[in-house]
Amino acid sequence: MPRTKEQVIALRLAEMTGLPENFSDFIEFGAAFEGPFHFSPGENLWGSGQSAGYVWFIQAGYGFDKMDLEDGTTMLNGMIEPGLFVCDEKNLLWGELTASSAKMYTHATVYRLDAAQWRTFVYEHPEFRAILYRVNAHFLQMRKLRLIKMKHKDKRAYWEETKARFPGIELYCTQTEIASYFGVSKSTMHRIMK
Amino acid sequence: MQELDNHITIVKKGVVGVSHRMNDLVNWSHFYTAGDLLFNLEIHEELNQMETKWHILEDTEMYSIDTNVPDKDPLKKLMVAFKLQRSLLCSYQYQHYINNHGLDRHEYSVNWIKSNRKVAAALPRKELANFLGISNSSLKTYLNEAMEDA
Repeated sequence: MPRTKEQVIALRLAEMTGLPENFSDFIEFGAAFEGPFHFSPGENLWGSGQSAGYVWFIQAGYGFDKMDLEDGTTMLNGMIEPGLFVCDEKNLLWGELTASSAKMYTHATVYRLDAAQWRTFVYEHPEFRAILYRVNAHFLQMRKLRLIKMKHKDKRAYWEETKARFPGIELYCTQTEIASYFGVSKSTMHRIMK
Repeated sequence: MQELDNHITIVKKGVVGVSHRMNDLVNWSHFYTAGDLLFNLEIHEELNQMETKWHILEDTEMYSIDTNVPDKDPLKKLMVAFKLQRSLLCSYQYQHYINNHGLDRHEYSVNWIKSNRKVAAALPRKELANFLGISNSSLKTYLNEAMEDA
């Protein structure tokens, strides 16, 4: 039986927090999203330098998001996968122009919530606000691990692990973007990828 | 540090180093200095799978504000906004450290050493090289470069 967007989003939040999927804030939060939107391979969810920002929920499909770095280059930031909430954080935090881009490389089904509406929802729902802190704890843990892997994991082993997780990664990202993801120079990355 | 739950803390002076453990290896990931914001989520006992610790590396003075205020508090609206930013910032800060690590190692390392001479001098060389993600020999070269401009 097909599930509604409210159910799909509430279920994911329930998985992340351990709370019941019929928790009213989860259903209400899911209802605030627009969609579903369907994307084809090669289409951008968002681009760099945009003023409009959204929180996206990925129901199906895979893609990559890339960050603009201070030195003017772009770094592969990570994979967009089903079940993830993704956004440009600078835009969400401070309303700045987006400093990242996100492109799908498979067909995708997604939902989106305008950043300003997202903020209003969180202001008006104190219980949801408290839960959000714990949801962010998951992201914090993921990022700690990513940072430490980037610094200390054997780069060849890390590359093999990444290729297995993101098959065809080299078709969608430049060698420079991949090198930044691993925290190595382009020439070192070239040797690792051989 | 549970007393900092729901707090936003700012470093007025001093240095707080942050370490994590992975596979028996302890690594520094970042250092808070004057003007930086701290959130205790990164060291919260229940959520701390990587044994993240704060280390006071020199005399440090911090100010902290509790975002949990009664509904009738005149600053309630502001504190709700702070609480929301706190929730997002604690994970975003790590994205910033990840981004820094994606920058050219040579230029980044020399600039970091120049801007954080006291911290660089206080750390054992091996730990400093680990923190910057460079070899010991590269560290020696970059230290010399940074010192040339001192």
